[in-house]
Amino acid sequence: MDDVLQAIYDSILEGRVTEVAAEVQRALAAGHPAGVILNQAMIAAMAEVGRRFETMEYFVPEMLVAARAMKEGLALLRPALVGAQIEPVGKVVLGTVSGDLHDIGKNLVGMVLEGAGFEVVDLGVNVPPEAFVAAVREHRPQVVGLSALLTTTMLAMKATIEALRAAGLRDQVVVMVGGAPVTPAFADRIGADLYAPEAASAAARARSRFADQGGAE
Amino acid sequence: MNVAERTRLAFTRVGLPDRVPIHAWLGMTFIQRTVLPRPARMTDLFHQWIDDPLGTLVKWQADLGLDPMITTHSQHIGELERWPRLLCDFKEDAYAHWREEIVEIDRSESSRTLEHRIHTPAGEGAYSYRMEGYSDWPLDYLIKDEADLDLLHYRPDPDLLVVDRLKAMVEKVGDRAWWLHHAPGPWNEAAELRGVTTLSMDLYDRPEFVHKLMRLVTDRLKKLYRKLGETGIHSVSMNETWVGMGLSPHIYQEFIKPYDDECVAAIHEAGYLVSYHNCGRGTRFLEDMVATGADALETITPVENSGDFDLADVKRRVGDRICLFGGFNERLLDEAAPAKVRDEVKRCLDAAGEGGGYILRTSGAIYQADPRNIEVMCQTARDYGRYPRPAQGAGGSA
Repeated sequence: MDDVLQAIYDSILEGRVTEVAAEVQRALAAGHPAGVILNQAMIAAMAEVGRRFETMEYFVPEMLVAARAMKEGLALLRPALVGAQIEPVGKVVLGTVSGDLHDIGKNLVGMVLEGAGFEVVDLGVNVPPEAFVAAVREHRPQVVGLSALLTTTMLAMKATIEALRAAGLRDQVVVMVGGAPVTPAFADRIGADLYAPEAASAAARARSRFADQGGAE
Repeated sequence: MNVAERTRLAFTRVGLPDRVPIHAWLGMTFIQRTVLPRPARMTDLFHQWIDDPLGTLVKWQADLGLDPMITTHSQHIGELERWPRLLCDFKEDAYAHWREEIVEIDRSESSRTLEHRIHTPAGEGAYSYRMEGYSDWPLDYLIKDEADLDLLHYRPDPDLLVVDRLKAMVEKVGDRAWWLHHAPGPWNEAAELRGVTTLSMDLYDRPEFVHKLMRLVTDRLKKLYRKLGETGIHSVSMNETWVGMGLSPHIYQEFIKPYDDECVAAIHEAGYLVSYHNCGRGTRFLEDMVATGADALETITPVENSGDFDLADVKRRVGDRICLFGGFNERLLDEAAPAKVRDEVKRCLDAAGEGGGYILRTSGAIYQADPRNIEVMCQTARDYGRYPRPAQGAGGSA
């Protein structure tokens, strides 16, 4: 890997925000195509962060600082990506379901998905089913991500899926659910398509499912 | 053997109780739906609990077959303001340099958003949260930058806490229930003051700041723990929930454990027992949590319930050094068949019951459950959890 791309890759892995910004600018100034910077340095780094998380070399704080560095670099790169007509690998509408105001898991998933090349529309917390429906109509995502931290609020995931079905939108999106109380069995029971036990696997599973449907990769 | 004697033996591991103690934390939604004769306002409920704990909290749990456990709370920033303040509030003097102005900044049919504006000699600060149903949700945090740490010097002094009502409630209950008072541990309090996401990134961005914050909250918590020693409570649940968010052993050892050690020592000096509360993940630094000197470890949340603990593994690794307080997957109480509930009880007792030092407890609070399943859980534990225990696999009378 080229030195500057390697520097971007290393800076993201170590969560060094200032260095990522400087190196992305240096790479652009040196004439590296935005798509190469994104794929070979940034997405590759976040994939490595995910791998290290799964093997317990990295933990939540390390993921948070890496994802923040990725986000900083991506903000600088975005104009060049738009200029080069490089599209995101997919679009995700994400939110914490109605009645639940916890956001750490949802934010982490959002950052990791962005790091994996998705465009993320973050609806925030305490999002009622009808707001998810409206966002799907407006943004036309491929994936809808639902987060909950409480056993009492995760029931709103079912209500959200039912609202998407009632609006005739259910078949147009992959519904991914996650959060501390959510289990694979619960995900099956409420009719979700994907269950993500934690942030790192959310990105990998979304990409994999999306690829199965002829999207990314 | 009464409830307190039974649970004390499990906590201290100095001998075997007659059987494994059985505790659970009944959530407000469960209480409102199941055991209350009619809906009640929360403030009225809290007054009933304080005035008549034996006829309310203790009775409801005993009727289900549980060993009753009273879970009171200390006041902490941004959460659960009402119940703790009814039990213990500060003398007026405590607010001489910490004036709080509470402003309602939003209201809907189901929620209120409040901002606390703090005035101190070191300057102004603010935090806000939303109150909805039985929960309060932090929206932003008091410590927004390093300069805000100075505000913390002016927080009400725990020495000026009036604990008479809590003490009277404890005396009324005596040994008919186990008292587990909840108070934050230093990492949790730091997270409540700073926000856990920001605090997590501070570990990398400004580690010295994290140590300063932890020092300030630890010094104050130690005073709180000493004050609570005047009430006669049996134990405190030192709430380090955010330790379970998924931290590395290195982070735990450097930024959290030294402060936890001090708090556990302060609780022991005050003459009561401490249960270390981590309701998330932590199997990678299990031995470190035990090395804080805590008497019990809760809630030993299994993988199926988003923790990462295997009760049998925990027993093998640290069961000779600490009481294990949890491990039961309470989700089964909602919809599972009674046979599955019995199997779960037996799994827990087989994993951790041998030799004592184990309390069967639901890992999380019970918000939704079929009361008949709680009765099955309790009866199975009463039969299968007797000491001396039957040989494993021999079944039980449940």
